[in-house]
Amino acid sequence: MVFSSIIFLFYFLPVVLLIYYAAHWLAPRQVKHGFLAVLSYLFYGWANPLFFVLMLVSTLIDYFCGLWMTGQFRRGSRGQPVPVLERGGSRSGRQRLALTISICCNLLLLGFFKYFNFGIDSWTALMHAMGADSVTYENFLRITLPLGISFYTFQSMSYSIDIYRGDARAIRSWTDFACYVSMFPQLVAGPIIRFQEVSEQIQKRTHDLEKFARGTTFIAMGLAKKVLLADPCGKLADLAFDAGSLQVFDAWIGVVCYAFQIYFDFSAYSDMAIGLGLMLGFTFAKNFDSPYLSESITEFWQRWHLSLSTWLRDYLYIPLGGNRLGNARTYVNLMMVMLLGGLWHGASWNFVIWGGIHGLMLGLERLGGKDSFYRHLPRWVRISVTFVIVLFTWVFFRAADLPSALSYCGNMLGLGGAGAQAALVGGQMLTVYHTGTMVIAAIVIWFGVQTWDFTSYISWSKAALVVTLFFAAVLMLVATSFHPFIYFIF
Amino acid sequence: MPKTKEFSLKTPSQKLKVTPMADSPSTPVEKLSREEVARRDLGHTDMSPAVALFLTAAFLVTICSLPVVQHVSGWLEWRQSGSASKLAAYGEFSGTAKEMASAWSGTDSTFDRILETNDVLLKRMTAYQDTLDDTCILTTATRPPMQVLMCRLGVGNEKAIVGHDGWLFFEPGLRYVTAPGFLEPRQLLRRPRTGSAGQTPVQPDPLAAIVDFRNQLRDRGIELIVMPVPVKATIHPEGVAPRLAATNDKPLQNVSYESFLRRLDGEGILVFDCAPQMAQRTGDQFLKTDTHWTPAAMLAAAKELTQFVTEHLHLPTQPPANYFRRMTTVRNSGDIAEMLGLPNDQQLYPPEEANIAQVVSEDSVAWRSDSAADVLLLGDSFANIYSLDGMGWGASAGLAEQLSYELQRPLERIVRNAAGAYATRQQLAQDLARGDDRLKGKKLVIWEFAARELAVGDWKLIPLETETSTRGDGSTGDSDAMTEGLIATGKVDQTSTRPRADGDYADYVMKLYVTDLKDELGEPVGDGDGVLHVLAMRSRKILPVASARAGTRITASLRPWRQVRDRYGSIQSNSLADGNLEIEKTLYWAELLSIPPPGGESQKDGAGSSKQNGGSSSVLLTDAQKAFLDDCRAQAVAAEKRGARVVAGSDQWIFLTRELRHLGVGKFWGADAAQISRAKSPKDADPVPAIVDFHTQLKALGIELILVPVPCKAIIYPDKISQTPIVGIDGRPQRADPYHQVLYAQLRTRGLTVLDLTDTFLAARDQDQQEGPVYCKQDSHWSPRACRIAAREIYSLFNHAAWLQDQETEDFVSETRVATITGDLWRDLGDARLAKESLIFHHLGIDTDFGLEPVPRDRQSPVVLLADSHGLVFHVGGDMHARGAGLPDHLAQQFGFAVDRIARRGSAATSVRIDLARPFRRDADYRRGKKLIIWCFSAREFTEANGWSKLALTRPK
Repeated sequence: MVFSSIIFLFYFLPVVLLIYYAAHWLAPRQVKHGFLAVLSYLFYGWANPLFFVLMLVSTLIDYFCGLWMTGQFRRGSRGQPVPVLERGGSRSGRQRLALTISICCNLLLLGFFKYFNFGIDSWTALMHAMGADSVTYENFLRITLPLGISFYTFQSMSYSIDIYRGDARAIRSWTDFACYVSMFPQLVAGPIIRFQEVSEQIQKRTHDLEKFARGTTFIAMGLAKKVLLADPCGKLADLAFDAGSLQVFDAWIGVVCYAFQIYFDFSAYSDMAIGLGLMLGFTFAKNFDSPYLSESITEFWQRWHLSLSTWLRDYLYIPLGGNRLGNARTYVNLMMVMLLGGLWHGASWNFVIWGGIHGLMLGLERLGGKDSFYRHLPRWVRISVTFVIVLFTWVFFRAADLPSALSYCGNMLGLGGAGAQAALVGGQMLTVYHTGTMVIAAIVIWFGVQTWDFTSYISWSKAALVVTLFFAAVLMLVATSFHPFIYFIF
Repeated sequence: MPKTKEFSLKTPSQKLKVTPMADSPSTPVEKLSREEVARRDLGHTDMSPAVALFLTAAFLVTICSLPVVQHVSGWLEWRQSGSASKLAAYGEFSGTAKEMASAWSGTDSTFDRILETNDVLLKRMTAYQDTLDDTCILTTATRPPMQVLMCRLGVGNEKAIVGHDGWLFFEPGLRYVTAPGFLEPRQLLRRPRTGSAGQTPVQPDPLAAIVDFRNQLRDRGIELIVMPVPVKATIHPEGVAPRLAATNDKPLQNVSYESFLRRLDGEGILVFDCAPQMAQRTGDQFLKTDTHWTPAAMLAAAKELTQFVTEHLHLPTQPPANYFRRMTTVRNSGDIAEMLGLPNDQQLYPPEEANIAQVVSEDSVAWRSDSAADVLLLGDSFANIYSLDGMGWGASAGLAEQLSYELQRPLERIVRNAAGAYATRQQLAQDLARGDDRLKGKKLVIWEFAARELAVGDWKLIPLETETSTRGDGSTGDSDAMTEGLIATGKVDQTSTRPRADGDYADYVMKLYVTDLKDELGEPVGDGDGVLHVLAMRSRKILPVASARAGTRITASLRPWRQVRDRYGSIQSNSLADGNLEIEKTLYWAELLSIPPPGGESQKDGAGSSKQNGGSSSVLLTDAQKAFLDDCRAQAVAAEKRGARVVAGSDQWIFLTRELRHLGVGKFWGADAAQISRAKSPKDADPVPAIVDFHTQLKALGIELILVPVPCKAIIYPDKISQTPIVGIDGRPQRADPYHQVLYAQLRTRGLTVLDLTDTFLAARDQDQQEGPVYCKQDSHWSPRACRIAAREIYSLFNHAAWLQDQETEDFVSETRVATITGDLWRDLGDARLAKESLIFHHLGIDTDFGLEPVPRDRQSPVVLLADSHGLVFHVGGDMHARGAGLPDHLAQQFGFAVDRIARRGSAATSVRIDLARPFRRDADYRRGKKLIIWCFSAREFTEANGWSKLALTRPK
């Protein structure tokens, strides 16, 4: 189910709020969380009913691993509070085994569903290249990628790791845990909520009108960003990336539009997730912080998809040794984290290259003291250069395959040899609507206020603006075709 | 120590520090983590309680009001009309459990069972959401005006691209030109992977399919010409990019197109590429708001193709077919303009006019596909436009017609809107597999398809395997021999894909595989199952049949598919999931008469279910039927208001007000009867119990009953009374009385014989010019000709009856006269200026010295005609206009003996049965001598009679 759909906004959400608050006022926490988990499973299973089985398996594994790790299956543990493991303390073989099982199972699920097709395709391409056509598997099993598997697998893994590290207490209540893993606001496209972030909120959180009202503003702003800005920009991006040849200007317009689209699309989802969380009493952390105002790639990663970057930092970069094992190892670690981060997004060499470019830039900037090597230029130039670098990386992120990405980069650099067909693409791009949308999007990105800050203080005029934007977004939503969120496929 | 970034929030009091990508997991106490910032910031928002309340209320009211309004309006709609289109989404789940259970038991492997069952559920959920979106009142209300706004801002939608100077482009066509080369290896590799899970991957290589098709044809000694028709952007790129106007004398194709032509040439395949000539011609080659070419461009292409054929091939000489062209002008809104979904009264893209050249034979008969021709045209919508009337651009002027004209030889065609890459080849293959060898005698196949298919089509390789017969009885399985208009009931087992209102074409034919297919008497139709082709969308309006799914019981009027396939086979359709059914099973064209309302599927199956369904099914009305019947009602109401018994129609036709009222009342039996009947007592309002009781009593006495309701004049001549008559794709009036059809079907399921003359009379209109109309223009009765037709039809049902074999017969003399009559309606109209009508009478009787004497009534006859004035008109003279030319006379001629007649002026609902009951009660011999009772009365009597009382034919013992 998609946030920007009639079924979610006008049917699912009212029912969820009704049931949730009825349970909140009338029933104990477990019942409330039970309802929330069931509704979340419905939300998730709407894309494909079989997917919910997968999520259930993942949840069961981590639930039992968490309890086993903290000795909850031993006699006499029943009725006792679940202990928090000592931070930095030694761990028994059982605890290490429980963690290993949890991580392996999650990675196996993720690996199979996300990377199986990629593996087969890569093998086939390799065999074709080597002339060994008889050992290819072109018509082998094709796996359907379950929605949001990357998100909830990481979320689920963070539970076992946090418990193992002693950063959080295991949950004994099945409904509480199922609610945490399946919670629909951020289930399929993040932000990735680490267990330690919400473990206390699962036990106890507040519900008040102020929180609820701010939640509505997040949802309204998120919906407006998605429907009024991301989708129109996405149309132009699709036009450019689906074209066989492009003129230089159109190629730049296309990739800029994609940059706008992915930012507004993903940050809109995060806004709506935060808003829905607030309505249900949760406070989720900020996921975006004006990324296109970054003055370097290092800064970009301090502003873009923060829940992923901090997850990778805490659960991958630091365990790999971070910067503690010398310069060479630090660069290797950085590159490895970014390559895996790229691969996390999707099973394609394009994502690996995307991660690789970012890793390379982070390494280069680290050489210069974690700052851009163009740091002496004026601020607006630094922002522009960073944005251009990011644009080139987005080409690999968006293009259908590696040759298409290289061809697109060629078009951007005027090396593409645009034919007369390219003029038709340009002809479709330059409309009043598209140009207007792009200008507004640029203003919002570089001169606007983030939803987070905009909603920290809400006056009557702001409230009126929010409601107007919400109505406009709803009108546009029902009047135009359906557009899924980009990050659904990750 | 990691570097921290400082940033300020808009709230002055908040100035926080957060840790970015730190190198150490330990967080210094003075710094706040992202989570702590979130808790601190989101936990406290600076807003007044009033603002918070306003935002919350505005949000909740918005998200809750839509479903509330949707449900309330749906409920009101249901109360008013018995169905709720606004709540149609719920219907998508009806029967899901049954279908899932069926999917579960359909395979042995547990894994497959899970997948199949999941697939069923997923499809239902998807359908639910799609229907929810389509029927959302906010969507339907806001989409058209929003689209106007978008168009003014220069954008269309997913399918329609707004160009310059009023040009509209079909998005897939434009994409074909701008996309990477369709023969590039990575495109050929990528396209099969773009389908959704469970779908058969597409075959992306057109060369492979064309070469394969050519080879198969060559094996049979048939030549192939491939004809890719350019898309609009190829010829008119300036519509999208004005600066290309200077260079548009060369067609702008996909980058692989040249290579495609070269490779086909290398394979020795003839390609007729009309794009270069089109690009060089001046003037618009395409309709501005439609996907397709102009009539002139098509005519030119047909001419050039003929030249191409002459230059490259030698077809056997034939005498010229003597086709002629007849110019006419059509006006229509383009399909791309329709795709935009603008308001009906929009002026942005007004309808366009096109001058089409209709091709007709010497005797002015519209061109027809000829299965004996040696040229076969396979085509898509570019061949269909100007030929398939449903596309809105006229008929008999399509590519097949023009090519046939230019070649001056007959031609067979298989055309189908959409999927030009495979649809027609698949149809050809299916027909061959059914034993219908459509390649027999062919010398040349011309395969036309839209060039965009090269980039987006599924070029599946389709083997053409000719079967002598796939069926045990040696037939092709087609239903040629069946009665046209046979009403049958069956259970849907499988359906093809359902239509979508936002699809590429305005019309859509769905295929239903139906089992337990039985006629009204419960006898299996054909093999008891078959594939029904039904129109599921007309002019982008989804028809109720689209809701049919596995388990749904339907009642439909069937016709042999072969008879209509040239007409309806060209409409867009998809195959059943099990394509073999279309090869192995009998094919029908079906007009759906009834389908249970959503949620009404729980009735038990098997024997008797037709009756049950009949009782609870809703009667289906097309938009055209509804418009016509509404018009009848409005005219009746207006006439009654001014106290007029009659309503004047066009061409000197006059109609009875009561008849128009009857047509406008809707369902008139069962629980509805009491509301609308003119019966004196509500208990006598429903005609069904009285009719069934009468039949039961007669049956007990060993007497057969045939019900002959005389169709309403307005149903046979709708064009004479209404501005909204129902005209079919062939331009002929179509039935507009589904209520009568359903009632007759229900009566038949109860064992009654009902002779429905409507289809016969409608067909008889073709000879009106020569033989006169089947109804009097100015009288409330049928015409003498209709009496003759009715008598013939009645006799045809009983001519093999055993009791008839012992009857002595005699020949009667006939005499044809023409006379002018003063019709009762003419009198009622009171317009003396209106010329009286003349009728052709076929008088029958016994030749005497005093002339022709009418056949007298014979009380001893085994056949009794029980009738209202339709049994007296032209029979008894006087106000009945003539003697010896009515129904009793023609019955006498058909049977060979005089019939007994019990007829009354006025209603025959109850009074004539009383007249029959009297001698039945009095005279047992009289009763015993009767074998057949023909009960003939005007169909309007179902509602306009004084009442339908049950009465005993014999004295109670």
